[in-house]
Amino acid sequence: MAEIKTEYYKQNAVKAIGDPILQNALSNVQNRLGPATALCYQKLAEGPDLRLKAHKIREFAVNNLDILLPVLAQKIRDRGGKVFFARNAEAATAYCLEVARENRIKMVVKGKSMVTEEIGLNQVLEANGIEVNETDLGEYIIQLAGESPSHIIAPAIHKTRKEIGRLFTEKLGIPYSEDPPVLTQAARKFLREKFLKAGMGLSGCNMACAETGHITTVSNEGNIRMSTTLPKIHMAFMGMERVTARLEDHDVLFRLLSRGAAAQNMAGYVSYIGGPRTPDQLDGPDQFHLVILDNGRSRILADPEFREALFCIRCAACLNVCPAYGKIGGHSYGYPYSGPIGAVITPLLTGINRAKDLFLGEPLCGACKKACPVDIDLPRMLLALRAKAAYGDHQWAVTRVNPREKFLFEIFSILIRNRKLYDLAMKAGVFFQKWLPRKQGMISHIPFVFKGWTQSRDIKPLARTNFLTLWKNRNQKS
Amino acid sequence: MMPSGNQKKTGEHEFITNIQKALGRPSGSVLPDQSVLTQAPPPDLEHRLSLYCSRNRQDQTKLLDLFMEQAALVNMKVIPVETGSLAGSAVRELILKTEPEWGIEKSVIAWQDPLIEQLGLKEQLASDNVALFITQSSPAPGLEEREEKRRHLLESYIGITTADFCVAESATLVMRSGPGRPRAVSLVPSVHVAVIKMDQIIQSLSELYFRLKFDPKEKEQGLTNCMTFISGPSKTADIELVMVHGAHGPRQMIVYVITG
Repeated sequence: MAEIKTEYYKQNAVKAIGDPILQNALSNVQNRLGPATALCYQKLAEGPDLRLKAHKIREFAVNNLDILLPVLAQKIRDRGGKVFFARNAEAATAYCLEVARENRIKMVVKGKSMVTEEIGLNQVLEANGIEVNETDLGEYIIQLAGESPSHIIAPAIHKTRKEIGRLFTEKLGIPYSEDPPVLTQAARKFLREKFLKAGMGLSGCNMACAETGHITTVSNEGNIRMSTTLPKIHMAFMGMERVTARLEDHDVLFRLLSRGAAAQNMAGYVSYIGGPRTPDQLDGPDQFHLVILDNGRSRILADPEFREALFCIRCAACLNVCPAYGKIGGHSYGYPYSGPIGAVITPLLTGINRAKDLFLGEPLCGACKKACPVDIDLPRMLLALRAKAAYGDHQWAVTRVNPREKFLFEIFSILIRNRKLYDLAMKAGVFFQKWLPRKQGMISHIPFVFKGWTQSRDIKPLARTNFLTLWKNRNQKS
Repeated sequence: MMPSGNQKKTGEHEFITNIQKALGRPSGSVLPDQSVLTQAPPPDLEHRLSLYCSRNRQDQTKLLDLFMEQAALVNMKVIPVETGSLAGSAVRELILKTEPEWGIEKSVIAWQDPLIEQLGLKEQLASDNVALFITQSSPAPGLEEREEKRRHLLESYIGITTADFCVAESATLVMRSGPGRPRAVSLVPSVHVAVIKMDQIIQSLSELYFRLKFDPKEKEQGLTNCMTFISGPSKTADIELVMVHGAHGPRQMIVYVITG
């Protein structure tokens, strides 16, 4: 499993907001990709409503996973590929390690894949003496820096060209440059050696097709094609929900995926891979393995309230429009999945109580739903998670996040139903507030259970005379 | 082909049972209901197929224009030429004026394909100091032969392929792998040159999937074990969102469309 750091959400968010370089990078990403994607949807021949069709396609597939996955597996086996169904992260990484050991693999090259981040594959391989090379430029940069991705499709977006220049000078020994083409060329040269020497290539899977028995991989750099063509073994990892029934489903989904992810008409490279090299072919891997991962997904599937979260095709469009993500960045979410989709699936995968800050921190503004290429109702699910945190939930083993909250609301409920009691409470408030510290006429601190109210903002004092009294007096005068 | 060693448990049964439970379906004995996969051929199948396969010259020219317009957006150069041999001399010119990215020797690798033969590259390059490798292979190439071809590939700075289709709307070349058509030729060399005939240009992704699925001619071959879509040269924007071409794949991509 990836390290879970969701409980540090607040402190990481504060750090992120105080980092001017990160703030600049985040607004750059959002200003460029957010509106560009929206414009792309408008320009679709079918208009933005094509997203509703995509939603139906994904819904149909997820509702039929028990039929689609065995068909996909069988077709791949028919071509000589191997398919392994992994219940959890440990089973998936153990399988990969076993195949690597059987084939005496010392070094692997890897395309960017969120699911391998989720299962912590790199750490397991490295702990067992296998060199792992991330080959997506962004992933490569953060691997050199010893960091984790901060955006689903642009993982190194938090780093400036100056930082990357210094990093390359230090780690690759090249003369300092902050010119993106020069830096890209350096990575190209360095990684080419790795592609040619690696015994195994690892990839994710964007969308499988059950009918034809293929996985697909998508990239713009060509690194995934390199990783899945040159080494003798290709192993792909997919979350169990990433399959569609029919080939023609891919028409709608790929057009929307490319637009959602990078405001492109079509991603640079899309490969349908359905098995190892056939005897008459000159290249391609001799072994092809597909690892299909559950790791908590069947639990999401079982809950009609959250099943929709499995429709996601990981394009990151919701990150590019989210006001919370735009301020706190990907690392604050404390798990590979960030932004609105992360705020929904991370709690469901790692524990709702532990990751409660993720969904409490999202503003419910609805921008993510509009940006989603498959029209997932993320705000609805964020709200549902909040309800679970507020009331507790047996099925998801959620305990009330704040039991005092309920107690206070019960007192409030008594107060507002009793006029005299309410007036008395207000008078008491007016009386006691004069001992509270003030800043420019505002109360800057309230003690005890109320302190949350003034933790990050000042609050207006209660008026000496309330509105009803003012109103009465005014009417008496006239 | 199958890797030897112990038969591993695939974990499939337990995994699928678990999904069935989650979906609230009776688990275990249910036979896969294939109806969710197959779709009856659409009623306008014949009509659509005949439309696709009988485009006249004017329709094809329109598709070529659309392709060129879209290709420009993704930095893919499209050059219409009348005949194969004109394409051949254009490729020769390209080779003469382009310098290799790594090293100084000029080697070029091309698919074994009748359309590429029309270019007459062997004759074109006879008097130049350029090595031309063709990916011809025996019916079941052994390790030695494959490694030799791999060396050729690595020495080459230009890779020449054809394509099965070219989707105009998104400027996408579609290539299926097969004998004599190694996929790395469009990937490893610094420059990728593709040669297609004008009638290989189709309208949309939707047409592509339709033809792959319903056209009896295409259905037979299927998607193969590796079908690749290529829409432009390799690119990245991972450093401050600045677009750079040639991240790992070809830095430059040129498509010659034979219109004659």
